[in-house]
Amino acid sequence: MAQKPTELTGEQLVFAYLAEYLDDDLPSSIRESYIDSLKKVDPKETLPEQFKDARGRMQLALQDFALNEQQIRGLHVLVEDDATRAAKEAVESERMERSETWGQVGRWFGYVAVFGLIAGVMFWYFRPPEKAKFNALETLVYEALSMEEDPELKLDLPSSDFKEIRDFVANYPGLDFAPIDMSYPPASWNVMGGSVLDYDVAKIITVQFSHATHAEEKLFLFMFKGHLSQLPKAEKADFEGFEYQTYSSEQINVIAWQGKPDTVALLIGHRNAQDLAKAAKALN
Amino acid sequence: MAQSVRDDSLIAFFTDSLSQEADLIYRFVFALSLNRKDASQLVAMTYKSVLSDLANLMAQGTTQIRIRLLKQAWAAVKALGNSTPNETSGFSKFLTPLAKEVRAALLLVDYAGLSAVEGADVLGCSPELMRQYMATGRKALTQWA
Repeated sequence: MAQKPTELTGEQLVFAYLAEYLDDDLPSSIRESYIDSLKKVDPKETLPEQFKDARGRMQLALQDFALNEQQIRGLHVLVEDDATRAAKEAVESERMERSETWGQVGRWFGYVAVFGLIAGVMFWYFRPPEKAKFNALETLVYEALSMEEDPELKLDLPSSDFKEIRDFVANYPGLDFAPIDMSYPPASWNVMGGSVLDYDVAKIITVQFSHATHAEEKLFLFMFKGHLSQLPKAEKADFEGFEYQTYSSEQINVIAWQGKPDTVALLIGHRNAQDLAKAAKALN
Repeated sequence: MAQSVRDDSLIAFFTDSLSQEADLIYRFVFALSLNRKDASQLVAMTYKSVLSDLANLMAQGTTQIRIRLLKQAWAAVKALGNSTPNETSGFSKFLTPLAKEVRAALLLVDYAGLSAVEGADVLGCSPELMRQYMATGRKALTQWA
């Protein structure tokens, strides 16, 4: 280039810096003179937009010109011949295939794991209720009748102190369930003592009460680990918000309720179900 | 066939990165030659000219690589001398009456995205002269459109 640079004329200045003007990026040193020149060259103020459109058209027109595949391959051959490139591509393709295969295996393992997890969760959620470890109703009715015949026979801690019995129940070591709170003694019933029946399959807490005026009438509270659904289906009832289910026989009546999430409580006596529920509600 | 490149990373750089600029270089040299065959040859000349310097190019940024290729392309155009324009498209007709420097300035700044200073570096002229080329090219461009 041998040309010597000359100063831009007003019109040259306008065109030379049009892009900067459009981008609001004019150098401050020429801003004033540029605006003056633009007003003279383009009094209608259409030039900047006209240029923007024209530049877009040029860029679009240039898209028609591109190297074809053969020409691009011709460039690649400058550094690597076709055979070498093909061999490399084959190796890469094989690597990708292998990677894809392992990816698929991984994906399948993933699917199986997710499916297994879902199946496991569904099984856990919809699993049938765990079978009771013992026939609570039959066994404990038998125990109640047996204790009724000989009240002292199975009392580990004979006591008429309700608080002492409550502490005994609450703190008994080695239980795998939480006993009910035994908040209040049932009205008209005196506590006689408490015991833990240690069966092979379960430990059962029992608290024995006798009626305040008819001491020979007994009431038996049993607590053990389990859920109401493990007992035979029975009529459900509600006493002032206290929900329970009832069983009755010629000899004795039973009410059962879910004392704690993992604790079933039974109250067994000769009173009707509602009286039993009233006593149970106080204990619960 | 130039098979002077042995380093796999340089080959990969050439085929995967440098070749990405090939269409831009082709458009630039086509605008100068207005002949597709010559343009193709000019692209090949451009790329051959940087083969011995691939390691250095690989260490540079995208804009610097583009400027280097455009410089080499401009040198190749000058080395090839006058081409015989054989294109009849409207765009070619627009370019034909313009001086090569004016076409180059237009392409470098308003197509390849270089600044006026970078464009001047490619053409080996002063920024002031570059602005003159740009002014001429843009005036023609607005009249063509």
